[in-house]
Amino acid sequence: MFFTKIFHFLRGYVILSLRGYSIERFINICARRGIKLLAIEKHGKTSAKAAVSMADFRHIRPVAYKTRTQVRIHKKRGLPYLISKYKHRYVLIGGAAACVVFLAVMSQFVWFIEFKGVENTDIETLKLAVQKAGVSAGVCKWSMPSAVDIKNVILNNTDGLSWVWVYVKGTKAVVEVRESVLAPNLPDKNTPCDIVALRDAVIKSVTAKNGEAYVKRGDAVLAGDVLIAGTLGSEVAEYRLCHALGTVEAYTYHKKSGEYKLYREIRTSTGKNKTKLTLHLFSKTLPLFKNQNPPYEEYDTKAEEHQLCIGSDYYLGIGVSAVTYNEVRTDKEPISYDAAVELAKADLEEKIAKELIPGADLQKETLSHEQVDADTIKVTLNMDFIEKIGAEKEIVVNNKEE
Amino acid sequence: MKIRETISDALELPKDTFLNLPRIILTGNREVYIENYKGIIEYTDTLMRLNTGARLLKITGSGLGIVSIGADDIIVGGEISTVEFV
Repeated sequence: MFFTKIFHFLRGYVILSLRGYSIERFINICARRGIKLLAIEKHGKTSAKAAVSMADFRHIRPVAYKTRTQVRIHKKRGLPYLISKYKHRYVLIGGAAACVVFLAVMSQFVWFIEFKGVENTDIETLKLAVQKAGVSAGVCKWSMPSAVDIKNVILNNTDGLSWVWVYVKGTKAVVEVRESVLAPNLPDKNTPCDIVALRDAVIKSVTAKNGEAYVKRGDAVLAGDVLIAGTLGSEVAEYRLCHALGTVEAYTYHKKSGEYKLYREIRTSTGKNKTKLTLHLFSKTLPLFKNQNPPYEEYDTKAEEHQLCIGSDYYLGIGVSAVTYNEVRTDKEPISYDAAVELAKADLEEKIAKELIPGADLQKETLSHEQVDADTIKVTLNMDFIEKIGAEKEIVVNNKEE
Repeated sequence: MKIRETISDALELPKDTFLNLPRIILTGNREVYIENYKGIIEYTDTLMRLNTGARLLKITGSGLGIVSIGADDIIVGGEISTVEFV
């Protein structure tokens, strides 16, 4: 049906308004004479509407005369009528032609550079390297250096990349990179080192695989104290340095406290908003508002980009970015004492979690709280863990002294 | 007619062409395609009577319209309620 409609549109058709007492006869004669009537709709006893192709319309007159049916052209539809309607509108045709030329010319340039696979590499360094390689917004696609040359320049000017490829997709240059994965920093077993404490703790157990244990169960140690020494020997024998190895488990104590409010701050929109537009013309940026400062003291922003593009890849170098500032008001919503304590506890736990050595095992947790004033409470959280507090520390041998 | 029908049955010939009978295809209650019709007798937006040779075909419904019409076939669209021979 869709293709039939397109076919009729291309050929052109007229919608006729029929009026008479023998419309059925009119339709029958048309059908018998091969005049193809379409979409016939009857309106009342004596009137109807029907569509007929341009070619068949000229054969209608004798049938209408024979059946005494009044035929009026209601509408003319289709491509031939559109062409005849607009063929003298030179400015419109010129504008359409200019638009086509504009699109054709604009699509020959690179207007946007997309980076894929960038995680740890400094994007600004990469952008500079890409620019140095001859790829930037506004450069003609055909004047770009070869992909291999671009790749070499980028690799030579950026650290930490193992592979780069640049390809053009529409008006977009896509820079695809793979970052180098550095080999893990494995401890050198030949370097003499001690195992030292990472934090103040009470020793639970010491397992020395290499070196001499300096501490035992129940000892209190401070951060930096040697737990397993890499210096072996005695007064009678010569000292020997080794790479200390072992595990030291210890009880650690973490305490955090803070003051928290008995209300929650809620940001509510006041309904007022202002949008500031910036025009992006090729590689230039033109603010459309003189004052680019936020219009409100407290606000939320929403940024939107509107780009003139064909499909997803043919960006034509013209775009508008809109930043909408929504004014907000901060209201205080009172919360219960218990809810405030729960929120404070979650916050303090998060702070303590940041200090922990991976693999820490919680032993005990104590929470205390008191009201400071009408709006404030003070919450203190004590947490006891078992942590592996040993860390390797290289023994620096001073040759001059020796 | 009886003889033609007997011959058609015996030779397994299609009845619509051999006996000049209408072939009707109904698509849900939205559209009815009638092949081998003879002409329109009456047409309004709720009723359509077609000449099919021996019998009249009566189509009732609402918003009835002729989607396309040719010398031998007609497609009637709209919300069709009944299709009956009278």
